[in-house]
Amino acid sequence: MASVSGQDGFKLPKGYFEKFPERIVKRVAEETAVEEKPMGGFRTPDMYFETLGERLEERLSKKEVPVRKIRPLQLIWIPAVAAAILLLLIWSPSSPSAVLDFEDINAEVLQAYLQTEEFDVTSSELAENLPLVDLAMEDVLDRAPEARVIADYLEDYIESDEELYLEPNE
Amino acid sequence: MIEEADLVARLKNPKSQNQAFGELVAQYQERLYWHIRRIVLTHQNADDVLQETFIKIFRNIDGFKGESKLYSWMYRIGTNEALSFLKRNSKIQGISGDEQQDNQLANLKADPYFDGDQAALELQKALLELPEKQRLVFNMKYFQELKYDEISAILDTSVGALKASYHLAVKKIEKYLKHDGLET
Repeated sequence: MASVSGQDGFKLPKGYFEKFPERIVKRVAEETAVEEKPMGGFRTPDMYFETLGERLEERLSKKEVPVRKIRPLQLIWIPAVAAAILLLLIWSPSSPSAVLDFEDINAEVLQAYLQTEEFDVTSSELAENLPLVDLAMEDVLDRAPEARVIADYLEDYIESDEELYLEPNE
Repeated sequence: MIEEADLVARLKNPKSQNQAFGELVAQYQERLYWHIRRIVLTHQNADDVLQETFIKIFRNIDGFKGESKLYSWMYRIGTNEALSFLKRNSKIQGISGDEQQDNQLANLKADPYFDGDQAALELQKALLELPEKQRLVFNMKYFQELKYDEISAILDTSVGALKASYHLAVKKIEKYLKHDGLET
């Protein structure tokens, strides 16, 4: 290998190679320092990345709350019980028929329906169709009128005694 | 660089899992941290999200099928964790999107681990004005210098759409800085 000191016209500064390692190490350190500064002013605490692994290990080694596994048998009867309860709520076992009866209708709902303007039935038509056999005064009136009031009504509106003994639904 | 397939295999093996996880953290922590930090902005939030991300990675490593690169998968988890964190915060505080931006900026200014100058703050303001996807794409392309292919694998978006997003993001940032930021 040809000497680098002056042969073939090429020259080098004195002590070039002796000082070169020091110069290159310094330059690399400077460039690394610049790269380490994140763009835009963001930085991290000292030793953040050096200690992150330990902190993660600590978190992972913390005992997790034990999860009790449901036994296979429970997986069968829990949904079965839930389904049974749901069926009971939907279908009342006291009613022998699945068909809605007049008595199933809530009184308030019925009253609201009867009071609608669209309901084109007169009071007498309604009375003709109501089952009077089991009908009591309390079913129709909130408060039973006093005997005196009944007597006054009968005196004013009943022409003959025979009207008092009408058959049901007449 | 640790061979990815070997690392994944060791992560899935209970006998070697802990050591492999330590290596995984050492190798990827900084890249993941800065990706998350650019989303949530403050160091404290980034630390919380980063830890949650690694824990999720550890607990779900068996679900990694190798269909993408490990790093893409981890990055995706980190992105989702960071975005979920921000959404959760908004819900807890009962604030809207605009209010959340103001909140984030205020937190950034108060962050002891942010010493950016006014220009840096204006840039962050401009970034917060961007739609979420555009902001993500800009951060990954400009600050983290990821390739479009890599971003595509992480965000599950086509390269074409990413290029369009980035282009739009740059235009909006330029416009913001010219009219509302430094030159106002």
